[in-house]
Amino acid sequence: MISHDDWRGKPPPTCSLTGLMKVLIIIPVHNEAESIGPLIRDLKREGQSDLLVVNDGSTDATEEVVRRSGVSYISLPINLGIGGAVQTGFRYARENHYDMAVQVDGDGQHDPSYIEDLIRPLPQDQADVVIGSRFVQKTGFQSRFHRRMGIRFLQFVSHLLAGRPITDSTSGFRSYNSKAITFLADNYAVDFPEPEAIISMLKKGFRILEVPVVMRNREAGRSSISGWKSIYYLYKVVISMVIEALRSPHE
Amino acid sequence: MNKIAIVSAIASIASLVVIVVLTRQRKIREQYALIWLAMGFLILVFSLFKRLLDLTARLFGIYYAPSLLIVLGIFFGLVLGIHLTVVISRLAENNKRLIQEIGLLKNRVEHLEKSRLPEASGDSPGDRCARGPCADADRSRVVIEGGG
Repeated sequence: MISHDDWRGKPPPTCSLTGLMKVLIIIPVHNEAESIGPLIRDLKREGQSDLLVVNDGSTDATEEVVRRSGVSYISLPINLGIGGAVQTGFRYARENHYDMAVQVDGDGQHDPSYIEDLIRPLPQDQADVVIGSRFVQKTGFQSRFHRRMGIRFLQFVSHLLAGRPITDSTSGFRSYNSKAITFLADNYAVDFPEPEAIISMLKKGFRILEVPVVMRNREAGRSSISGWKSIYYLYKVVISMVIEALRSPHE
Repeated sequence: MNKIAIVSAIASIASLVVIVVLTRQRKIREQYALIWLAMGFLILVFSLFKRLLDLTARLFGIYYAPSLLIVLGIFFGLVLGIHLTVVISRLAENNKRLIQEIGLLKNRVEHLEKSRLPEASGDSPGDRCARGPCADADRSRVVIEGGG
């Protein structure tokens, strides 16, 4: 639990940022015992008070670290994949009537100082979804050659299917308003959900905005996508985007 | 009636019996038994009436009638495989929902338990309400439920 004494005497910092709107920070984690502690510290330092860690069936000390940190957390008894974990966060946000939700990955790649940029367009009703993109301005951690080629290819496919360019369709650093939360709480893929969610949301008429962010290299652990898995990743993502594009928007 | 007809008739009757017995024991649900029963019946009919098999084979342009049985077998295997994929996908979706729901419920139970304990340690509900409208809904809801 967030220490009560930290709060006493001063209003929670989110108040000054977005008025009375409630923001939930959803942090999906899977075996991130080393990076989750510093991330929670950074988020609190940034003034985010409503954190929800979704522990996706970790087998290491992640749950213990999160429990000791005192933030709210949900522990899934069985590993679902990052999409299933984030969707649990959407359901929590919907049940508790949050106005906005931000996904921040538990591996420390997403810099909490960008959250403010990410949620600013939402209360002004400029967008329903805001994606933090590495490629609007090419700065920071840009990943290796073959991975960049894959991302370039996904850019091409999503442009083709969505009818408009999305520079960073694989980025999970996103903010959502309550309308988007309600939709995604029922419609979100279990694994590698980010690119196909763009297609399904555009089809539903949601407004997507990209803002530049700088991502950091991983603080610990390894990317879940490497080697043969990256081929499966591309195959799966492209097929599910095509199928999403074929789906009728009224379903 | 030649030997192969008798053998295949016996085999299909045996498989029908097995399906019925398994369904009776509730090891197979009725809805999933239907496809197996239809398949067993069809093979039984074709093995009992060889002329029907020849006629159907000629209809499809198959010169060697018994190969119709093989084609049918492969076709049924495919249909069954697709059917099972549909069933598994539905189960996986249900499973995901249940896992998520368990996580959400566990979180809620822990909140409720915590909201009971601090009352003893002097953290009164009034103290929490003083935190104003920005205190998150979950906390305030817990206060309402815990206090009520």
